[in-house]
Amino acid sequence: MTTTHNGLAISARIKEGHHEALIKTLSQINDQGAAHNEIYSFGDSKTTHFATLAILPEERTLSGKSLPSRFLFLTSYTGDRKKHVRELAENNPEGLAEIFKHCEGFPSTITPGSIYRYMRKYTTINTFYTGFQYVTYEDVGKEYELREAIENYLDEACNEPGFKNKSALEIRKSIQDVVKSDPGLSWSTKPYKRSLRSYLKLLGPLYILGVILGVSLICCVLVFFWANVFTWIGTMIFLSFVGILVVPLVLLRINESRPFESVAKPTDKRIYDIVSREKYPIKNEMTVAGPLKRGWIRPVFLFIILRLVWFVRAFAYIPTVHTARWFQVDGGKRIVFIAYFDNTSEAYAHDFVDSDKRIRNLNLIFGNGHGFPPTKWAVIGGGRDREKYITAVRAQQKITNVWYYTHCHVGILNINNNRAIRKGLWGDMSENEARQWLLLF
Amino acid sequence: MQLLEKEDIQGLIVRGYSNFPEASFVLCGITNPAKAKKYFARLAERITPASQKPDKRAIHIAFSNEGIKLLNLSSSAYATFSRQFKEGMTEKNRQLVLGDIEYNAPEHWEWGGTRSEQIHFILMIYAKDKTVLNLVMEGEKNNFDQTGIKEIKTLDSFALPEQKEHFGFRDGISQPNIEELGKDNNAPEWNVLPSGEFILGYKNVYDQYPESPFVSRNEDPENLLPASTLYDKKKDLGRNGSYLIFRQLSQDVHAFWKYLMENSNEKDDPTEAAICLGAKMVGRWPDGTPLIKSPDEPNDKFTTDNQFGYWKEDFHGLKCPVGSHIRRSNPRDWLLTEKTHEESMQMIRKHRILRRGRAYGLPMTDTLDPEKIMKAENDTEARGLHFICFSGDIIRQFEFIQNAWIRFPKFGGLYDDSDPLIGTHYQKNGIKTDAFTVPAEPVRRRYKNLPEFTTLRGGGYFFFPGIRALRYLASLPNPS
Repeated sequence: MTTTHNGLAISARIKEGHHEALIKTLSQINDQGAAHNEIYSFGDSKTTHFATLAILPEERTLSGKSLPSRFLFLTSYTGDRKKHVRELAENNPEGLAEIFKHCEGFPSTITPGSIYRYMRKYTTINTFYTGFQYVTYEDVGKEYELREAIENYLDEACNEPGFKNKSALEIRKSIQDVVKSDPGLSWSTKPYKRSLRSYLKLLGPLYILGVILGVSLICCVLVFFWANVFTWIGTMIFLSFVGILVVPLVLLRINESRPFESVAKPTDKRIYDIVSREKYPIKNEMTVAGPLKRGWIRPVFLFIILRLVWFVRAFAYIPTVHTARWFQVDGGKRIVFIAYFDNTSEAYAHDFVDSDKRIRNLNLIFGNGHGFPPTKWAVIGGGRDREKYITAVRAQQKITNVWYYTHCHVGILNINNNRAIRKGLWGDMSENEARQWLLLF
Repeated sequence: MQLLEKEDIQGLIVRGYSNFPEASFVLCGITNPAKAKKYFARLAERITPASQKPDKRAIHIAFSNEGIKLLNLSSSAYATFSRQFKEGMTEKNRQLVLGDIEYNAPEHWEWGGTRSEQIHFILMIYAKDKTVLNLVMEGEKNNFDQTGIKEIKTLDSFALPEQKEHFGFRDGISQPNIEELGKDNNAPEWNVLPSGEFILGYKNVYDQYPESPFVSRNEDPENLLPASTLYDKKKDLGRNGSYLIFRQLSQDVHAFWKYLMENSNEKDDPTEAAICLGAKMVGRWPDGTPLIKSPDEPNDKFTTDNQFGYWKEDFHGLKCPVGSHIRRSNPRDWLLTEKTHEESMQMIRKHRILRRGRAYGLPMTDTLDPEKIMKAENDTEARGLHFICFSGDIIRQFEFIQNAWIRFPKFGGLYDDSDPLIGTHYQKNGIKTDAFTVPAEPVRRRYKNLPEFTTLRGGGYFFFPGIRALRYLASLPNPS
C-alpha cells in the first residue's frame, strides 16, 4: 500500500438554476457537521485527512469574459487515488448524488460505479503540498496515542529515584519495554519503514525529469564534438526545456509592465464573515479563488509554474500548513488555492509575506492573480507590498461552504514529531542519537 | 530617517515614566458629548507631549470606539479606523483569537466586558508621588460633572520595588527600540524598529505607511489635521497617534507559588526548587537574569540583560523552555516553523509591541522576595498588572502575539501548553492548554493542570490620538 499524501480536486459547473439548492444542501452538511450528517459523512472515510466543498461564484475576467459558477469537491488523502475515490463513492453513493446532482454532466443512474466514473471524469490536476508525507489518517491517531503513552510513562518515571542518572539508551530501553508491554501499542513494535513504492510515487517523476534533463544537457555539450541523431535529440530536448522556461518568462515580463489593476478592498463586514468562521482552536481552512491578471500569458505561465512546482513539491516548505493546493479552472483563467493550516488565517497569511524567501515563491504563483501586487521577473516585488497582498487575499477569499478535518487536537508540528518518535523507537542508536531522540518529548 | 513630530505625540508612547511611580487610569463615560468636547479641548493643552520630559506629572487620553462615535465623527471617517478597534476586544471572534474564553471570557470582566457599562475614554495620569497624583486627579474629576463626563471606575497603579511584578520577577526589561529615537546604540538589530510600528503616520517595518484613520478635507475646515500620507485629498486623523491596548490581569500570587512549591522537585530544597520552576515559567530569574545567560542560578551581571537569542544558544529550550513566558511573548530569533535564525528574526520583527504596563494592588510582601512570598499568608488584596501596550496594527502586532504565541497550545511544537503565566488554562473537547513542559536531559519534565495564575478583569482597545487629532475631535460640530 502506498502512503503518499495527495490531493483530489473535482471541479464541475453548477447547473443553471441549481445554485441555491446546492448551497442549501451544503449548508445542511455544514450545520450538522461534515464528519457525520444525514447527507454525506466524511467521517466514514479511512483515507481522507481533509475535505472542502465550496462554490465558486460566477465572476468575470478583467477582459470581461464570464467565469461560470462552479462546485469544488476537494479532499486530501493518502494512498492510491482510485481506491480513495472508490471508497468515497462506495461509502454513500446516494449522499454524493445529493450533492453532485446540481452539477453538469451528472449521470441519471446512481450506483457506486457511476458516481466513481463521474468523479474521475471531473477530476482536475492540482499541485498539492503537504506538511506531512507518508502519514495515513490512521497513523496520525495511533502515533499520537503512542506519544501520549510514552509521555505518561515519563511523567511517572521522572519521579523515580535514580531515573535522571540513567543513560539515554537506558531510558530508551525502558520506553521500549513499556511499549512492548502495552497490547494496544503492539502495532508500533515493528520498526517503521516507508515503502519504496510510496517514495517513488512522490519522487519518481522528479528523478525521471532530472535524468532526462541531465542526459540532454550532456548531449547538448557532446553535440559539438560528436554530432549524431542521439546527441541532437538530447540537445533539442534540453533547448526545448530552456525555451519553455525562458520564452514565457520574457513574455511575462512584458505583461508585467502593464498598469497594475487593483482589486476592490473588501468591506469590514465581508472580512468578518470570513474570519468569524475560523472558530476551531487548532486548525482552520481557507479558500482563495479569483481570475488572473490580464493577458494570455498569465494562464500559460501559471500552468508551467504549477507543473514545475508539482515536480519539486516534496522539497517545498510552508510553515504551519497541513496541506495546500493550487490549480486552475475555467481554461486556466481562474486560480484556486485551498489550504488547511494551524491557527488562524491572519497568522497564516503572514507566514508568506514576513519571510523574504517565501515572498519570492509566493510571487511565482499568486503574482498572477488579479489584485496581487505587481511583480518583476515573476519573483521580485509582489508580496513585499504587504498591504496590497493582504487586501488581495481577503478580496479573493471565498466563504467555504463545508470543510472537514480529522484529529482536531493535533497540530502539524505534532504530526511530524509523533512520526519522528515512532521512527526512533526501534533500531540501533548511539548514546548521542538516543539523547537527541529523547528531546522529542 | 523620518523625523518624529514629538510636540504632537502623546509622551507615553516614547517614555514609560519610570520616574513617576504613581499612576491612575480613570475609565470614563460621556454623558453629554457637547460639554465633554469642551473638556477635551481644554485637556489638549494639558496633555504631555513627547517633546517634554516632565518631572511632576503627565496626562494622557485614549478613546474607545464607542467614545469616538459619540464625538460625532462622520461615519465615513469612523469607518477608516482599524476593524479590530471598531469591533472591540470583546467581539465574539476576537475572544477566540485572543483566547479570552472560559474564566477569561468578557462576561466575567469587571469593566469593558459584555455585561459592563460602556467605557468611552480613559484618562491616564502619572505623577511623581501620591500628593501630586491626588492633586491632578482632583483637578480633573472636579470638572467631570459640569463637563458631561462620568467616572465609571478608577484603576490605581504604582511601581513595585526593583521593577518587579507581583509574582516577584523583574519585569519590563525587553522593549523594542524605536529607530527614530536613537536611544540605544548597543541594541541588537532585531530589536530596533521604525516608528511606524507604533506611531501612525510613519513608515513601518515593511517600509510602508500603516493604515491610519482619516477624514476628508472638507471635514477639517479649521485645518487642524495634517495631510494623509496614504490618500489624496484626505487629512490624517491617526498621525502621531496609536492604538492602545489595555488589559487588566489580576494575579493570584498565592496560587502561583503554591503550585510551584507543590509540583517542583528538581532541587532538594523545596524553596529553591519552586523558584527554579518559577524561573523556567518566566524565562528569567526573579532578579531579571535571563536563563539563557545563566540557567542554573541568578547572576548580578545580567539582571537587565537583553542581548541574547535562542536559535544558536538554546534551540531545544534546555536553558529557557520553549513555552516560557518571555520566549513566547518575544521569540527573538527562534521559531520552530522556520528553517534558519535569520528567517525567524524576519518573521518576529513584524510582531512586536511597545509595553507600558503598570502593577496594581499591594504586594504580598514589601520586598517581593519569592522566599518571603512563599511564606506569606494568603490574603484578599486585589493585585495584578495593568497590561498596556501600543501597536500601529492591532491584528498584526498585539493580536498576533496573543493568538499565535501566547494562546496557541502548539506554539514551538508543544502540545498542550499555552503561556504558563497569562495563557488561558483549560481542558475542553479534547483540547488542553494547561500543561507546561520543561525540556531537560535525559528527559523533559511535564507539569500538568496549571491553574489560572492570572485572570482578565477588564480590557479594551483604545485610540490614542495625536494632540492635534485630539483638538480636532474636540472641535467636531455637535448634532443639531
